[in-house]
Amino acid sequence: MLKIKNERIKEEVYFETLENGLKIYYYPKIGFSKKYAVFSTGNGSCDNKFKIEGNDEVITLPDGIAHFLEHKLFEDPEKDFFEKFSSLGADVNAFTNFNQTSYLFSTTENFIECLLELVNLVMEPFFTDENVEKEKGIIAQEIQMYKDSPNWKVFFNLLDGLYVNHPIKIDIAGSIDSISKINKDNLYLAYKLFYNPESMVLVLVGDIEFEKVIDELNIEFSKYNTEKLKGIKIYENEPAIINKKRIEERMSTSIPIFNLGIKDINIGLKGKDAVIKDLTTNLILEILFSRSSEFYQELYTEGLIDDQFGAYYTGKTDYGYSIISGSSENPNKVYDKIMELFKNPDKYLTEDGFERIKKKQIGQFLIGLNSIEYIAYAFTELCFQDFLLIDYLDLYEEINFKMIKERFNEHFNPDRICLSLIVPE
Amino acid sequence: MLEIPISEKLGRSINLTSIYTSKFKSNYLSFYFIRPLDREEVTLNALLPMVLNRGSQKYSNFIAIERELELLYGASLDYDVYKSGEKQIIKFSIEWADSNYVNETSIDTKAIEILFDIIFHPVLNDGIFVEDYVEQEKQNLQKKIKSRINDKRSYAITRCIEEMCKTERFGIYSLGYVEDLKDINSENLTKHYKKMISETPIEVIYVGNEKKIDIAKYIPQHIKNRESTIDIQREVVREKSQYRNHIVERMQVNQGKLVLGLLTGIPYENELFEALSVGNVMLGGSSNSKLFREVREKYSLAYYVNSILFKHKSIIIIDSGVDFKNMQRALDLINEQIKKIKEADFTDNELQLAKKEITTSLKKIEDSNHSIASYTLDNILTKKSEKIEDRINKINAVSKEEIIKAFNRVNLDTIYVLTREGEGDIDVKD
Repeated sequence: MLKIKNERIKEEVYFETLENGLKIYYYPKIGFSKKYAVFSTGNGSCDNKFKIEGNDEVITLPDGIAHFLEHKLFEDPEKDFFEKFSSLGADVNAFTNFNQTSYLFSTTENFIECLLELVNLVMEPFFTDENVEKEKGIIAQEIQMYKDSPNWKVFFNLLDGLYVNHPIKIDIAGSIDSISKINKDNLYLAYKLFYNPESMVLVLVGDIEFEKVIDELNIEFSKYNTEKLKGIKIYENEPAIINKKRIEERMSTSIPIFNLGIKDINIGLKGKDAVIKDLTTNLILEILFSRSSEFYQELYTEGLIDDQFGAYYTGKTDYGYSIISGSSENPNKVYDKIMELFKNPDKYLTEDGFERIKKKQIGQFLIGLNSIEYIAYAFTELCFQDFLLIDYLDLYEEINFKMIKERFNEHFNPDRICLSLIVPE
Repeated sequence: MLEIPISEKLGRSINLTSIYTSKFKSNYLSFYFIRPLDREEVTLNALLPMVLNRGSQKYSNFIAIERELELLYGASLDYDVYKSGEKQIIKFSIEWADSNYVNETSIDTKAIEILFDIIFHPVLNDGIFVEDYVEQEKQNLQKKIKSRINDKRSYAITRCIEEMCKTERFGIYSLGYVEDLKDINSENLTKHYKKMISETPIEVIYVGNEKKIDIAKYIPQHIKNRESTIDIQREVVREKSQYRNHIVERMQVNQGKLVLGLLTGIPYENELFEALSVGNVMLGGSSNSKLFREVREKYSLAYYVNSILFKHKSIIIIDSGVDFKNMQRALDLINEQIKKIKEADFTDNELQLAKKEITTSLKKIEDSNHSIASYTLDNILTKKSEKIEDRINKINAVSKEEIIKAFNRVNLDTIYVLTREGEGDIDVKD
């Protein structure tokens, strides 16, 4: 067992690799009644094309299969997992995003029992023609629900504008058409590709007896000897250019909603470098667009934006984008103002702003550590990027204003900007 | 376990409750004006915090406020307007990092100062709010009110409540009405503000580790010396539906929404209220509920179907997103599940799971400073000082018979359907 401590924030993490290769992290939060476990695979909706080792054939999986799989792993021939967890006093849930599928529970009691149930849930698939068909109705309603959400639509339209080939532009749940192609066989195939303990991560947060947990897990995992496939993911060739400059759609909303996106082409980074890039870009966006900026004040007093206006950057090894979003009666004017700002940033992108925002983010990170959920999610996400959450704060020491300016010049390029709009019917 | 809340009466209808704990890396201070939910002033109350948030005497615009907050290591100053039963709560709060982790002890006092500065010392022009601020925030409030239609799920719920409680205060929309805005100006808003601070019950709640700070000191003396304040009436609880409401609204949507409003007639003071809460969770409050199992898992009609009990008003709202063609089927299935509980058609296991669901979420309150504050406020509003453990014990003591008794008072009042042009509606039968 490895213990990693960060002196500055007085937090520590324990690390262990199980016999089957699964990586486990334990983040103690002593005195909390709630305990949290998140069991994840680094495969999500973007993982749809593979080759099997030793075979040249390309396997293309139907869109939405990772999400479908997430729903279906809750199926078991004997027990109802929802009931099982509830009877143990726990809430169980799962989610799928672009590059990760996670199964989690929180509980105040029976932690080990719950954890073993979670392992059982993930490690023992049970698909039948009947239970797969039944799920299609439920997921179809989930897809329809999102179709009525203007915020969801404006975001996916933007991704479609920014990306030419990358599967990130495909809706996480797929479409009603694509899920109709999902069956028991391709689900088992996807399962064998996605759920390999060696490439999975288990994160535990709370007041937990870690050593005991490890012993129990080794015993539990030895029960599952399912066949795994070693898949080689095939990446689409994504050009540096964007797909569309502008996308507009009509929906029943009260006021136009916009997402202005900037495609990141500085990709391929991993670990600390990737996280520093992420932090730096988010610092820039906060300096320029948060409530304390001159720019925000100008647009707000002109009535062009309201307090929903904001910006963030997110990225993984093979993609990244910044989004500036809000609602406005005059989104085109907001767009023009932002483009102008990108041309002449000096008035807004100041060293003073940099120092202030840095302080703000440090404090907000500390406040985030109050929340067991936040820790569990953020820790898992950073794990897949090969970085430890407890070292996050230290990175702020390494970022200087020169790096801010360099990143600004590199990333905020008008040729890689798309505007996505939802306008009222 | 948490330390017992320490309550201090600072003046007439103004109390400070402190919950000390070293569990969090931050301090959370929240402040609540408690007003009656009233059609005459609902829009004014919703607008007020938006204008106050624009600037104070010390920080005359929001850039100044925000920059100060950033220097306090990202302290977050927030406001909210919502309804709790038939009360309109105007809330202000500030959360800031524990000074021990950032090595700057002065941030504690500065953060508290900002909060009270915003509430009690607004920037004024000739004795009234800055007119530009008022006009801009009127625009913003108008946008907020109108944007209610953007989230179809919550829109359908609020519309159902609106129709169900048309003649009651609970039917009032908590952010007010667009048509009220034209008559609001800086002068009458300032007048309303002055009335508000002079007569409104105030609660202040602190959750954190800093015992040395004297929060009371930052509240102006004239507030502590108020001589008369208003009384807030308890919500009216209706027992029986007079006539069946059936509302159909059409919009360009992909998914239909079916929302039912039910009366229970069981106020939270009633000994059957805990049984009602357990029965409600058994009906549709978790993934073990009858609704989830039947409507979603067995018949694949919906992705979500929930049952929510509004404690202060004692009504139940059941909401679901279903395909237009399945509306009738979903309605029948929902009614069937309610009937099952009334007729004792549920197992002991279902009962235990529902209790567990509630007691688990009660235990989790102690892990979040925000939840601790809301729980404390709820105790104050319901005039109780119920510890979490006591509430857990009450839930665990609920019997099958009590649930049946409580559910036999539950009766359907309103059916709200959001559908699309040309798509079917439902038959309402009793």
